[in-house]
Amino acid sequence: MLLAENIQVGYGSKIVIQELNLTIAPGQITTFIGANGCGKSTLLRTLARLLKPTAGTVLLDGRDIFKRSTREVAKQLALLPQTPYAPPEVTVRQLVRLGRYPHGRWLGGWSDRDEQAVQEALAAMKLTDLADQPVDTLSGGQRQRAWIAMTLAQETDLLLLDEPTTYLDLSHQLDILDILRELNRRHHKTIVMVLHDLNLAARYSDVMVAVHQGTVYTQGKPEKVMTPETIRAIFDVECVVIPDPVAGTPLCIPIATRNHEVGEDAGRTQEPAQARHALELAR
Amino acid sequence: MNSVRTVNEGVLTNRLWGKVWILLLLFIGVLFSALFSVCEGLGNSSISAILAAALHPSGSQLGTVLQEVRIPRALIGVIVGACLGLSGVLLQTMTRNRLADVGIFGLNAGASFAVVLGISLFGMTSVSALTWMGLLGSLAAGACVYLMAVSAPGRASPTTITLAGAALTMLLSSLTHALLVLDQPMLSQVLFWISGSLAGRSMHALLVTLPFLAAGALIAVGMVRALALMEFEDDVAEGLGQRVLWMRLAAGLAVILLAGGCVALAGPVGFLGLMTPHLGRWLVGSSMPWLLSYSACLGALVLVWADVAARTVLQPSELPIGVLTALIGAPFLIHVARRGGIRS
Repeated sequence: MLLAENIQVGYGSKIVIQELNLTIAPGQITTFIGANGCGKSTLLRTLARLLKPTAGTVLLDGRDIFKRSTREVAKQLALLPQTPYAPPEVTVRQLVRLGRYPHGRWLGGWSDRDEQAVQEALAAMKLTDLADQPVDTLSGGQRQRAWIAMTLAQETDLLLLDEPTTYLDLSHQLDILDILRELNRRHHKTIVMVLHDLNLAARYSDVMVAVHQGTVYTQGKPEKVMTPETIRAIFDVECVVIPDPVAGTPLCIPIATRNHEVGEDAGRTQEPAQARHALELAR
Repeated sequence: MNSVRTVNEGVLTNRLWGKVWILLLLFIGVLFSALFSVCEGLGNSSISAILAAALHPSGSQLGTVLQEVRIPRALIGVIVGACLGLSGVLLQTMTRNRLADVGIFGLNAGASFAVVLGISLFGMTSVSALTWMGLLGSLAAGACVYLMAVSAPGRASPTTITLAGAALTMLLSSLTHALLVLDQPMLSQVLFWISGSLAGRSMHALLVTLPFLAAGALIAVGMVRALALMEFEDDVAEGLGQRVLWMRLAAGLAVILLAGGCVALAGPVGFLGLMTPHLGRWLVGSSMPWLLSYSACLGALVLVWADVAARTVLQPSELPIGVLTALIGAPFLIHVARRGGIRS
């Protein structure tokens, strides 16, 4: 169980997050949404103990995450940063092996348990055949699967991902999100991620957390969070929300930002009221 | 540890033995080269006569030459080369910059400055006194760079370290030049040291620096596992449970001890620390224990042969060894840059 207790986080004198309380529901997929610069990535990094709050604390299983050895934490919580870099010669297998780092000993013994975890992670991400390829020769989707395999080899209950679908095309975005859902449903991993695509977030999340101006604006099931009011408040965008015809989850159709209702786009984008009316007719 | 790996990785079995054999060959190559360096140019003395004179040096002229000149020189060549190879891998890994050379920490500039200071202010002339000055100068410069980098925000990031090193290098080398301009006669005395050379280094100088070199090498070996993670971003390394700042401090300390000891012993030998990690990666990839051992052997091999060339090419005068390593290293550097070995 991971929770943030009244945290305040900043870089230098700039405060990014203040008075934020959040409990991550175990066994669920939680997604942070919010505008650029709202503090959602900062929040994720703080939960992963990469940033130390100036006030408040993060508790993992009731214990202060910043007072525990980082290696012990790494056995419970894995992190995948946004588009991480791998040095050119590193192969998929070498990358996945790094996941065993927190479980290893000082001079690097390699146990059967380590080898088994690596093989399982490779197999789960369908990378066994690509294991000896250098990571930077893979396609974007394969590369992301290799990094996820590394976190799997870490064998943690918690997996934190910062925008895992960035720079991927639609089919690979869906592929990665399906993989994460399967890890959650079948392997009971608690997943926390930052996503930019609201509709995919709504489709794949159990809990959505709307972050606005460094604090939690609202949180709950996608149906509760994805409302025109919330979208307007946190993105400054007018939208209509209809049920996703495929998944039944909320689907956000943006109309226009409130700043640009009239202007050069006025010819192409209809007035909000008009557009909303058109959509209601369509329904 | 390797037995488990080989069982599970059929393909790697062959490659693993390949790596072991080539490492063994390199090691034998180093021994052979050192032997050649000891014997080269000793006229018509047979190997057995040389061996006898080396084992029982008392009295004979050959024995004295071997004991006082040839054996220390070959030994220092092997040790300095190996240590520069090790520190090159450490430095390129910890700064995530494959064009980083040991000069980057301001170590060479610090040592040069201290040696020039020693000669001009304190009138030092003996090699062992200058070795101490070089050692103190490089350690102090390395410590300065580190303090500057650590006190900046961002946990001594690779960029801060590089910038601090470049700044200190420029400052110290302009001070060195100022001292040399003010004291022209000293120039000829110092010039040879400043270009790097193994000539005239005694066993005593080696014994002075050996503890520092050994400590640096021990740290390097002790953090083999951690090093594998240091080329990745801080977030990845910390996410996997590494204490990034502490590891960077330890790696930096090892670099300062290794490269500082080397520059004190042989002067600034350019390019070797840059070149050998690349040769090593080309042979064994970036797997750490292999890369460290390969780079150390290659460094020793290259330096011993560069030294043999330095003293034979223009006989009877001798070239500074730094000139030779630069002659090999500069085209190599361009090759690496063209292949895209740098990371922004």
